[in-house]
Amino acid sequence: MNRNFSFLVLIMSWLMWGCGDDEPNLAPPSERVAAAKQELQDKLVAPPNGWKVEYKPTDDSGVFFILLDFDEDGTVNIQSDIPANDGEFRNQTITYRIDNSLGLELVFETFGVFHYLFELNQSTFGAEFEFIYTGMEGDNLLFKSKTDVSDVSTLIFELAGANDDDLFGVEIAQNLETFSEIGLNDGSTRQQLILSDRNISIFWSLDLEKRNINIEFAGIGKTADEIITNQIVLIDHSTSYSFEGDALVLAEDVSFILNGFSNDIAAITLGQFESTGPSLCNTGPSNNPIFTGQSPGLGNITIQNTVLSSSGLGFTPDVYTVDSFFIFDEEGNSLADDEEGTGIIIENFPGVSGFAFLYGVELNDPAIPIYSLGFIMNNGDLYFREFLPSVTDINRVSINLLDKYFYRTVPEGSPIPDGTEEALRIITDLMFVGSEIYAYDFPANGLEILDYSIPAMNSNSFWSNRKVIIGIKKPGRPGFFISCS
Amino acid sequence: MKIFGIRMSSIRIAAFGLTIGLFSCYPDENINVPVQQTEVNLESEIDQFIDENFTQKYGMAIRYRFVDRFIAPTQRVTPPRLESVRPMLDFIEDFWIEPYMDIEGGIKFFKEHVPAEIVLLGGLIFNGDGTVTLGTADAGAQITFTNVNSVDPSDEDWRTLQLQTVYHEFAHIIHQRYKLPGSFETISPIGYTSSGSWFTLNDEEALERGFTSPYGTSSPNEDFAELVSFFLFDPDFESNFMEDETDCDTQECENRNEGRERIRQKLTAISQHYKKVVDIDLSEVREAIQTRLKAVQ
Repeated sequence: MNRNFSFLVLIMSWLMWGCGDDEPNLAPPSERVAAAKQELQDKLVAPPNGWKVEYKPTDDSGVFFILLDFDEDGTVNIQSDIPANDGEFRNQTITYRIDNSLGLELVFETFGVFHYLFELNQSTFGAEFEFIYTGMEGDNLLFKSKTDVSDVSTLIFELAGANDDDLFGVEIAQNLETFSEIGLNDGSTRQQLILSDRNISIFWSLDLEKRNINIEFAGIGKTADEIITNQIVLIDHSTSYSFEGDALVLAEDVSFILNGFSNDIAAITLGQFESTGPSLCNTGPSNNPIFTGQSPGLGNITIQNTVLSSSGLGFTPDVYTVDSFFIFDEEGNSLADDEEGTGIIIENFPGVSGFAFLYGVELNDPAIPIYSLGFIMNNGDLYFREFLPSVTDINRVSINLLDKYFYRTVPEGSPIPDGTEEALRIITDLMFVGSEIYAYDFPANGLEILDYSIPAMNSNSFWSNRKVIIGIKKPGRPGFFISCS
Repeated sequence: MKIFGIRMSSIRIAAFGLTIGLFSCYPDENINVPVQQTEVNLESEIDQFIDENFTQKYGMAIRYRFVDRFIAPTQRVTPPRLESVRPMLDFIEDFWIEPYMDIEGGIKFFKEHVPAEIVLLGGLIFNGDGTVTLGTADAGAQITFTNVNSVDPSDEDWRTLQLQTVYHEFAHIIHQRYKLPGSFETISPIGYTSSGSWFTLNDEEALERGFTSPYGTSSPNEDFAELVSFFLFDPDFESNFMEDETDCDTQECENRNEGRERIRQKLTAISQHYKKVVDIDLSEVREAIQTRLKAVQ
């Protein structure tokens, strides 16, 4: 009892002290909330040049440079170095609100650069447009993401200088965007960085939206033939990057030794941009983007598109198959459009189901050569053509088709339709003869089917401006890609 | 047990003391503080337009500034661009509101049944389970438009999405207030799918069951809303869902015609229901909408 009584006295004493006459009663919460919101808004609108933010939405992403100039009327002018949507986010004014629920919140209410980043990858990228104010550190305002469940992003609003927009690397970002229009349309932009003074080429893939980069490998020489012939060194180094003025700056340097040089890349400065770069295909015109500049300690550099990629090194003996619909002509039309009934494949092989590429693998039916390719029919028939075993150089695959054809029919011994062999010869010649073929690890594109509420469905959806494109889905893997040019 | 009892008493005393203390420190205030601010700043041109043309006229609040209560915690969506709001409002006025203004009794009906809140969202709503939500209605109080940032009334796909959504959601208000037409559920009694499996059907299979879309098979309420929606916006509704195919020589064809017969029955029931409970001729609404659609096609 004594212990209980003592505890009660202690509690009451504390409460009485807390409500002493020398302490004025606190204002009602609604008034204190309004005052806190006003105080934060006053801070936001105060700086004459606004605020500077180096925004890094996720650990894996690069940095986006953003300037914010808040107005008392509930609008904020935002400048950024993101060139997307024809420069929409370079300079725009949207509305903002200071709210309170989990604390004082800064909400960007209408669509702007934060929302653009939020929407990437079907809104899974990890950016945000609602922030919780966490206080000040010196002159800086500190915020954290309201919507991140884990790895919560933090933002530091620093006082902006009058000329901070000079730091925007908008031009370099815009020019790099043009490289993304060439190639596989798989979300990556594959480039060859040529260190001209060292006769070394570095091959990397950029994710221009998320600003991260994978440096795949380096080789000696400048042309694909030189690279394939000479020594290469695998690097496989991933890092994020940012733009500073006319420089692309890696978050983490990449270092390797090749051709007698120790090479360390921290940043590249890019200046001259032209559309005179070599074609991806030997036969095409030289009208691709090309960027030239320097890298500290490495001398002159050139950036151009490439088809070489170490992601094709996994193209090893296996059975590769794909729905025949995903074989396209140079216009992007399916050669086996079963809905329309159009395309050379469906016209010659009604009932075609898929395309198969046997690369050194024996089927259950040993009559089918281990190096052969052809079509799978809905009724189980196989129409195949043999090719000579080939060597894969990095990801360049050589195919030498033979005039040897093999069939399996269901039921066994059933006749094949007239003209099958001739059609098989013509179509496979069209797809492979006179072509350079490159294999890629091709992640299947997720495609949302839009309806009231329908589960996501996956589809391989390929595009190219070249002769024939084949998406080959490998069992248990996202897929491989072969392009013929 | 005794020790436990003493400890419990201490905790109760402490809790009691804290309760007294809290009340004594804040004697006069209301603790029900609103945690979200959604007040409209009428200084902006778009807010004035909304106030004059929607709030005062029809009692509709248009929400285009993002507030996270619009969506569930597991959903992700962006707000609309400022520049997209006015075109979207014009679209809503032209293709949803005005058709009712054109018909007898339409003004009264619209004002009495319009949801109090219209929410505009910039993109599609991505759900935590990988699905996409195109539009929602909340018990007749709110209709949400998605994909406003792609506003383009001349784009048939976008236009169809918006109209299908708003006619569908507005139709829900009728059965929510006045129930479904009598015996409506018995017209396609075995056509409804089990929960969560409607998307396994294609359009033709839905038609064979007597539905205008696979989604309509998910429940009688959705069947009602889908049928109204298709009837209002689909210019080919008659040929698609009403007129029997002639010279049928396959079972599938016979099945489709049987489905059409069920749709005809359901449309008759729905039309009579609208006339009876809200004195609206749905055919007149369709005519007014189709006239406007033809002008943009």
